Amino acid sequence: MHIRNHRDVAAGILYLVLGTAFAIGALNYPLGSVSRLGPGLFPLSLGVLLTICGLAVFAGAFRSSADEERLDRWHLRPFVFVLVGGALFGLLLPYAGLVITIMVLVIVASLADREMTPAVIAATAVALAAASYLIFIYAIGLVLPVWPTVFSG
Amino acid sequence: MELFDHLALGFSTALSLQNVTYAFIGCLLGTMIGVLPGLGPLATIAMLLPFTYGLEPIAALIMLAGIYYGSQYGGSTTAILVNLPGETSAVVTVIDGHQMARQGRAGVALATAALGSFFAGTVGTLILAVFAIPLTRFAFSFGPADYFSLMVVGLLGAVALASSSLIRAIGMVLLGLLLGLVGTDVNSGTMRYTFGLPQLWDGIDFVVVAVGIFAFAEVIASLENKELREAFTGKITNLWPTREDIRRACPAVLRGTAIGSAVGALPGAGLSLASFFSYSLEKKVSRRPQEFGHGAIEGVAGPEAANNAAAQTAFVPTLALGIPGSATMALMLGAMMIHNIQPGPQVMTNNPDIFWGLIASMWIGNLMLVILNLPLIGMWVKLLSVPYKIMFPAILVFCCVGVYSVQNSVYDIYFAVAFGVVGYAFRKFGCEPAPLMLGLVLGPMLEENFRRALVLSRGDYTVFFTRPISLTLLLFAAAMLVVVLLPNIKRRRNEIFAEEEA
Repeated sequence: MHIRNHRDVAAGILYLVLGTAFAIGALNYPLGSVSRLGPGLFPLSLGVLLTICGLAVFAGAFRSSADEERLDRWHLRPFVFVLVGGALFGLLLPYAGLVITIMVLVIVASLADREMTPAVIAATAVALAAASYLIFIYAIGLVLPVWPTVFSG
Repeated sequence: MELFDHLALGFSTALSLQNVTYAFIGCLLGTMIGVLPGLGPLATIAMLLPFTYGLEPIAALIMLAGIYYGSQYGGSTTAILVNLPGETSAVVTVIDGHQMARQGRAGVALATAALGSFFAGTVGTLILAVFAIPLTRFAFSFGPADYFSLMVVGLLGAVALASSSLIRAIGMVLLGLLLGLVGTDVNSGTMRYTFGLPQLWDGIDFVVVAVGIFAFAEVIASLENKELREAFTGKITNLWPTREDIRRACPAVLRGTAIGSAVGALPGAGLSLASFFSYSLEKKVSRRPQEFGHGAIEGVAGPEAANNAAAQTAFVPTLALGIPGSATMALMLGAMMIHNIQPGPQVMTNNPDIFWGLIASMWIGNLMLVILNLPLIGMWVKLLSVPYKIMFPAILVFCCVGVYSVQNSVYDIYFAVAFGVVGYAFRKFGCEPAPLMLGLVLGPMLEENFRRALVLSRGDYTVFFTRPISLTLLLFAAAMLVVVLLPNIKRRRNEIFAEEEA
């Protein structure tokens, strides 16, 4: 057997795993009767259908008519820094407040792009922190922690 | 005339200084973000939602509508100037619009798009106003089985239009529906797929998913494809079309408007279909088909009018039935629910000022787009020349603040990051995420109506085929699938999407 379409294999496995997981999870909930369906039946059916889709996509990858497709390379640098920046935002916001958190986010995310110089990063961080304060806190009045909890007590 | 009374009520609501200001701010922000390549209406609306939180419902809706139009239109500007569609419905605009820009006629292309869109938007809004009342009355005769079938039509429509293979798109819809079921089951109170996390009891918010899959993944993808970004460096000199341009563009705008209005109102059909139809029609009826692809003005005027008319009439199923026809509409519907407005037939009777005010503000929004886009075009051009390395941290900041402020929860940010991983994987595996979004919003409604229909019929599954409305809708859905699967159409569909990728 020769895998012609690697993207189909990946997508097929993804559907297969998720579909099976949802279907198995649905077995924990009552299925109910035909006239009064329980909370389990709908997710079970959808999970089974998704599993079938996964099998079909997976099998399609081996057909002789399938397009030859390789998986694209994952670019780890932007992937890691953008998402770590986002996660840090959530982690820091309640303690460090909006201003510092935004600067951290900007600095970490900027590492995703090789062309950024320290001066540009610093300027972007300060400018965005100031702009966010003006827009979100001053103009729209969102309720967000602004300064570190140490200062506000 | 009842209609005029309604429109008068609408305009008196929408024309207050405050609401006009919000419509303006909405259009401005929407265009500003929508112009950025890669950020389509979905990501734009999700990002800009927090701007509306502090407002009263009507002002918030008006501003949201402004953001929606702005982001649609911004996509076209980018398509013409930078050769990168901001979203799928601008894909055909790229073909001839960018060629016109290369020939130094960017200004004319933009003006044609703006004026054509304005005309189409006006017609679309009128159609929405005229059809809203009868359709809402009709909607009151809809039972749960009919709603279920209507949603099936919408979901299959999204599948038929997805550019990935049919079976993959069906998988994405199913995954979206499943994700929509996460949280407390309304009927039994059972917690489903919450893994003991109280943050999941209310389900996964669509803003979280949209920001993760569209905005985060989009930023990552743009960072890795930097070489694809062709910056616009030229200057826009002449905005005004020549007499010859007008003579060629006008009939195209009229045909585009007709196609867009009709197609946009179909659940699940959407804007891209409208612009594709219009483009192929223009190519077919033109006496100079060889000019298409080389800067034919009809190729800009027709599809742009079509997609803007469709952008209006797409509100018909959303407002009258409460069933969004596309992922973007699903997001608008969710946004309305944040402001405690449950779209559906009741809105018109319970909050006529909101309903008609929204319709009037659609027209005002369209007018503002012309005002914003013709004289201010220089500003958008400048924005396009800002390097992405400065732009993307700002996008991320907006996303994080936006996600957090949905319910002041840092968990939502973590979920969004997780969906960023998933969204990036989808992209690499060639799975188009828009159908997932529609499934996510429709999931709970679909299940609810399915279960209610079976309760009412005492467990008789044939209820979906014996009720005339439901049967008609299901037959329509089946016909849609058959049409897409026909070898002839399938080949054409692939051709269209191949053109899009090229």
